[in-house]
Formats: sequence, C-alpha cells, structure tokens
Amino acid sequence: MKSTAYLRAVIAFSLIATPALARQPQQQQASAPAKNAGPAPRRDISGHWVGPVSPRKEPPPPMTALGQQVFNATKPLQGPRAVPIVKTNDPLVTCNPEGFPRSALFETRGFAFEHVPRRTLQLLQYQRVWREIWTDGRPLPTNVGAPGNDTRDPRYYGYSVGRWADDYTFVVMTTGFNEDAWADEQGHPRSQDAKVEERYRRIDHDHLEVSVTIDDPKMYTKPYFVTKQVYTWAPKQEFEEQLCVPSEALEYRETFAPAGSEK
Amino acid sequence: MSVRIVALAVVMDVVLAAVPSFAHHSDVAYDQSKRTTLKEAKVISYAWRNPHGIMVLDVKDETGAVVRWTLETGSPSALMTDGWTKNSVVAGDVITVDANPARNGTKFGRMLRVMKADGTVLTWGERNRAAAQ
Repeated sequence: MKSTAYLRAVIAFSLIATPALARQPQQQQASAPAKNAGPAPRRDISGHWVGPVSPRKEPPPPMTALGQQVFNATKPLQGPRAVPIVKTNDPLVTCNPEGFPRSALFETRGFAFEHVPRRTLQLLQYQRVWREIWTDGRPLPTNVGAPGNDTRDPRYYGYSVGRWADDYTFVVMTTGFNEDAWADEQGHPRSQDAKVEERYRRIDHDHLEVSVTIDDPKMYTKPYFVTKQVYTWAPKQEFEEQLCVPSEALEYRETFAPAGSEK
Repeated sequence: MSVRIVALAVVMDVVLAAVPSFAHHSDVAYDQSKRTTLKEAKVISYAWRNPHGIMVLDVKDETGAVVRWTLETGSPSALMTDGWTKNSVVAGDVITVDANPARNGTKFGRMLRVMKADGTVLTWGERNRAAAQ
C-alpha cells in the first residue's frame, strides 16, 4: 500500500519536474556572450577556459573506403555505436594519450592558453598535457613519417603552428599524427597527414568561440567541419586535477564489466 | 515498520528515453528508460576518483535480505560541478539513491541522485541532461 503510494508520487514528481528541469540553463556551455562581459583584449586568448565534456558535433561527411574501414574497427563508448566498457577498444580506457584533435573534441572541461615568446602553449586539464603551437612563422613539417634520417616522427598531438587572422581570432594548424589515437570519442579516424584547423575567436573577455575542421582526404571525401563551441572564462582560473590513473581505470573496468556482459 | 527496499523499477520511457550521455564513459550498459530507487541504502564504500566514482551499497529487498549494489558516479570534476565534495557521501551513510539499472539485471547502476538522511539532495548531470532535451 505504502509502496504503491510511493510509486505514484515518484511518477507524478517525474512528470512534473522534468519539464521544469529542462528549462534550466546548461552549465558551462554558454551559447551567447554575457551582457556584463568586458571587451576582448587584442591578440590575447590567454587564461583558463571551461566547457562541456563533449562539444556538440556536426555529422561527418562520407568517409573514404579506408576511412570507413578504420572507423568500423573501432568500438567506442560514446555515440550511436556505443558498446559497454567490457567490449570497447577505446584507447582512453587504459589511459593512453587522448591525442589531437580528440583533445579539442572530448574532455574539454578545462584548458588554458599562455602566450610566450615564439609560441603559444595550450595546457589541457585532462591528463595535464600541453601542446606547443609555434608562432614564429615556421611552416608545418612536411616530412613527418617519411623515410630517411631528416624526418619527424608522427605524434599523438601532431605538430602545430599558429597565427592571428585578425586581432581577435587565433588560427592553429596541426598535422603529423600517429595512428594510435582516434579523432574523437566516437572512433572517427584521422590519418598521419590530416590537417586540422582550430579557430579561436575571442568574442569578449569571458567567451571564446572554438571551431574545428579536419581536412583529411585519406579518410573523408571532403573537409569535415566538426564543431563550433563557445567556452567561458573560468572564474577561479585554476585547473582541477583530472587524471586518468591506469590502476584506477583498470579497477573501474573490472568492477563494471558485469554490468555490460550478456547474461 | 521494518526497513524496506524499494527497488522500484519505475518505467519512464516518455521522460527519459532521449536523454543523451554527458558521461566520460559509456552508459549503454544502463537502461536510461528506467529509474530504480534504492531506499535506506547503507554506503559500504565510495571511491571518489576518475574516470568515474564507485559507490558500493547494501540494500534490503522485500524479504529483508541484504543485496549489494554497485553504482558508478561521475568523476570528481563532474560531481564538483554539481556541488559535490569528496565527503558528500562517505562509508556508513544511509542514503536513498536513484539510478539507471543495468540492462542485464545485475545489481549495477548509474547513479543519478542521492538523498541524504538530513534531506540534502545531490545529483549527477541532471541539469545537463534536462537542458539537452
């Protein structure tokens, strides 16, 4: 009797409360500048920015045969092909490096920029890694992974150069990836020679609009405009310690493996 | 009145079916159309850690038998966004928990909401899920 009343109460609350909750703003995912934000400083995106775990993404263009083959081999934890943790081959499950551009497309809760002589550093909260974005005018390397001695090794985060397109838009180009990381959390591919463009447009003091485009003819039939997401100025300007600890990640996977197993 | 379970597998297809994931890891193992309430659950342990927290609970079922449930929670980063601290839930607490249960019927789940003995309510990702609808 009491259980029945409780059940009724829970259902009633759910039906009433959910639409109300739906009207609440989405935290840390600003879509428009705040009225009181100050003006954007000229040629400066330094500071600590916060955003969602996973920015909203556009659907990819058709993949090439190779791209589709690589994509089909991935078993992601996110998206329409998501599998339980016990069945995934997502490199992040064992705390492998996230790599780029995934670092711009997943686990984007916190990052910072610092402008220093000859380069801009991007500091990523997730796993506490950094990217060097050279601003001294050097071109992107063209010999990554090539045979011979005078070559560059493919990297998880590639090689990056940056320039100011105007006083408020910093453009970063990156290439030279290894094949051990995914382009995003859904297992989309990116080849060694992909060129990824990030455009950081400082809307005002408190808002940074980030666009990401992957140009990778080996994997996609045309450039893939992935996302445009607004990040907000972190009030405390302070990182959280967001580490993937291998021993804890393994324990997590083992603990919850039964939840995803077939009975 | 004896302590009583509630393992209410309340089916809420209409309100929860289209909720997208905001978790770091997959929640495909959990039935997001169902919300199970574990009433008067005793916290055996709670690991506040990445990638997700692990909350172990003992709950009495209809017969009075103690059933052990294991729930995954948000990462510290995600939970702090929702107002949690490391000591929000600790071993020994008696709480009421809402969770999406495992699809395969095992005693696992994805924690959604906790009500503490003093009436404090803590949630994980509820605002984000609601705003996405």
